[in-house]
Amino acid sequence: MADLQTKKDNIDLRPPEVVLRLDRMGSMHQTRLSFMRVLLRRMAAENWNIIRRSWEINDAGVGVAVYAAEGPQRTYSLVVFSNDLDPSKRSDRVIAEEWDSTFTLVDGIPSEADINRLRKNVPVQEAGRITDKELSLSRANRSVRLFNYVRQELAAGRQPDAQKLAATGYLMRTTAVYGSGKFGALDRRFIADREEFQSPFQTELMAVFMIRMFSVDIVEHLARADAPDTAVALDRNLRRSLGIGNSTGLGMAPFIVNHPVLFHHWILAREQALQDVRRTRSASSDTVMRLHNLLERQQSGLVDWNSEHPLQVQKVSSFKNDLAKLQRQITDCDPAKTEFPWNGLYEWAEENLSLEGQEFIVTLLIELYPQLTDRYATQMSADEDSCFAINGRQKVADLLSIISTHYKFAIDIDFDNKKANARFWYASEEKLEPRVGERFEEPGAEREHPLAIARDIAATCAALKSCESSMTVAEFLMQHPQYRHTVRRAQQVTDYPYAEIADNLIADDMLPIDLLRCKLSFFGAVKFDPRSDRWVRINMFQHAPLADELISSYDDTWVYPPQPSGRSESKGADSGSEDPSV
Amino acid sequence: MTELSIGELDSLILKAYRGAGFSWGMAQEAGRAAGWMALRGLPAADCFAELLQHTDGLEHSVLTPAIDTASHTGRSEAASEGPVCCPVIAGTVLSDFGTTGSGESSTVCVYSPLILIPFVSACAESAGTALSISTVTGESSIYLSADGQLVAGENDFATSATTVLVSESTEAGTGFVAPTARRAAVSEVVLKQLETLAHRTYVPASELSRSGAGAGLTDND
Repeated sequence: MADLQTKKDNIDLRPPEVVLRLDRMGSMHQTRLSFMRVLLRRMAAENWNIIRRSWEINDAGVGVAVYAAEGPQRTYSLVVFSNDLDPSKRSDRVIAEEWDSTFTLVDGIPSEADINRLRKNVPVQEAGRITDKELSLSRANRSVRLFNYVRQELAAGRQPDAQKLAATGYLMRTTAVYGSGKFGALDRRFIADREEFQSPFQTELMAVFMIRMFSVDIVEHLARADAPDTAVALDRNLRRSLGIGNSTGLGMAPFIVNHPVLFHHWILAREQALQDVRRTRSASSDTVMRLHNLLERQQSGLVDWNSEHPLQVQKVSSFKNDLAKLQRQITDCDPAKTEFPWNGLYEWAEENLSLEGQEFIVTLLIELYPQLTDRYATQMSADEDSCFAINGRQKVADLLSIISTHYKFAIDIDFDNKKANARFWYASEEKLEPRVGERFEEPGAEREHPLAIARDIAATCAALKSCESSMTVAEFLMQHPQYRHTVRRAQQVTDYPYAEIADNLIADDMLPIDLLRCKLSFFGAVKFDPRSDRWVRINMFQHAPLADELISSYDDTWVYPPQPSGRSESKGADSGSEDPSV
Repeated sequence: MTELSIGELDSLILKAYRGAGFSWGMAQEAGRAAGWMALRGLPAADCFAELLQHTDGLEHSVLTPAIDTASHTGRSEAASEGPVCCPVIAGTVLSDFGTTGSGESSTVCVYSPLILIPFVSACAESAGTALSISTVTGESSIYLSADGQLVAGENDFATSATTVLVSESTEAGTGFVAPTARRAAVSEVVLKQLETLAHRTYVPASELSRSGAGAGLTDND
């Protein structure tokens, strides 16, 4: 027993310099703690009623619809403005000015006057204003690959081909979902105490879930308008197989750098959940059965993970091999007959699988023990105000010691080398779109945003070394105000070690899609499909229960595609009822 | 008037302050201070517009209150003889040195003195001591409780350069509790002024920058 106890205690959290490398961040998958899954889990547990309240849309698809999510205490409404867009104007870029449909999430039920006010503002998105009655602003475009095909098939009285649906996976794709405080919306701080918004991004994802309902309603509506006599509704199973796409550029990358303490909480929750499972001494055969089941479902879904990006093609290919190896491993070496089986499996994965596979093991292990891991979902928000203040009384020597402990990755980089200093992050005057420029080729580097953390920390470190070690941080900052942002970060990282990405964000080979993927995995996105090094397409809520299934037959493992034979589990089936021995 | 969310105001002031030539870390302080003020119904945007009119393009060092570094205190020089300071810089000096609330008083001449309030609030909370900000003539005072709350205020501070005394307070104030506001109303003139400064942080669009940002392949599929 003593040996086992020792082993258990030796299973530490994975260190930041392992977890927060860009290549690993760019291989992360959704988990039970992802915000999309937290949202649906809560809605199912609390019997939320999600309905279409009104539909005033003409045969050309133009008009207004309202959806409502009715929870135990409050109702939220999605107001939809549907447009008949000239296809030549359809673009996912943030610089577009017109969309197929636009949305806002209203806190409560909108009045007629609210809708008239929103009608002037929501369809023009960034050019309009919303108010403190609204919680999010978003838009979506129809999929050119799928929308008209489905419309034609339904109009002709046929169900669309399931494989064709799966290959794209959505009828509409959101191109921006703005939340807290944006364009006049209510700031999150005023709703942060609501039970339903304890996890991040719940308002945005609630809107997306209702947009998914709308995307099918509108295609059915147009099919009926095209052929009232023959049109049919979309089959329920096919409907479930459709999520909502999203394409996103660099806009969300700065977020995780600009919210270091919040980001720490996301990573910490995931790492603690992983650690708890790795510390589990034994596994029941039922748990191992569930592992096999989830793995098979993930494998069957892989045929629809499509990408043309060479790097992602290679990653998906190694991931397929990883899953096959994993299946052999858990067959040959039954975790139910091993002590500390999950730690053993994780360590095996580190030795034998690609980063995609290693990070998917994290996802699977967290999945197996809801009773151990779900509690961390409530710890993924942060009071950023409370850790903003600089400790001016700290001595230069102590700050230097923090930097040498937490920023090894930064102080070893030679920033005189142009390759290490090749890029700069900035905001374009075009709709303030965040972009990355080539420092030595493009103008504008003097307007660089403070995302070059590694370089700025290295410079701060050099400046600190030129000061007397007994000097206070207050005195240092009086003389060197340009290092205030890095000093703040360095002081935060002692309490929040997962706050910093352990990589150089301005290196010539830095891939912004790694940052995007990490953030999107926390949202719960799947099917990462980079369209360039700076742009990624994803799917949200694919295979999720439909609104009317949340209460009746909620399957919390919905994110793993159902096996071809049909849906394999029903409400409560994955609850992991056994007590793990920890 | 435009009603900004607190987040929008924070972001606007951060960029405007940066656009006026100060460091990102100081700009973060400015944005956050503006949000703090707006939440308590104080005219943050007006104060910052006024401040930045005076300080645009000036060096951080010339807007910094003098500090007696020998004794490491945050005491400022007699304000009538010293320069007019930036209240964000003066505020960070007070909170960084952390001596206010530990028996020290500070006199400082700043533009837009209301901007000092969030920083003095942080000092009060950190020291656990009630503090006041008063004009040297004593006709206006603002009180911060020991937990940093704005408990009383006669907000007739001038927005122009004013010499104020920050010191420990034995008075509880008049019992007036600051309202919690959800929005910041900003006049079009002030909004334009701040946006002009903020605009300096944006990079003009070019074909090169536009092409690098998108999907590479079609972004419409």
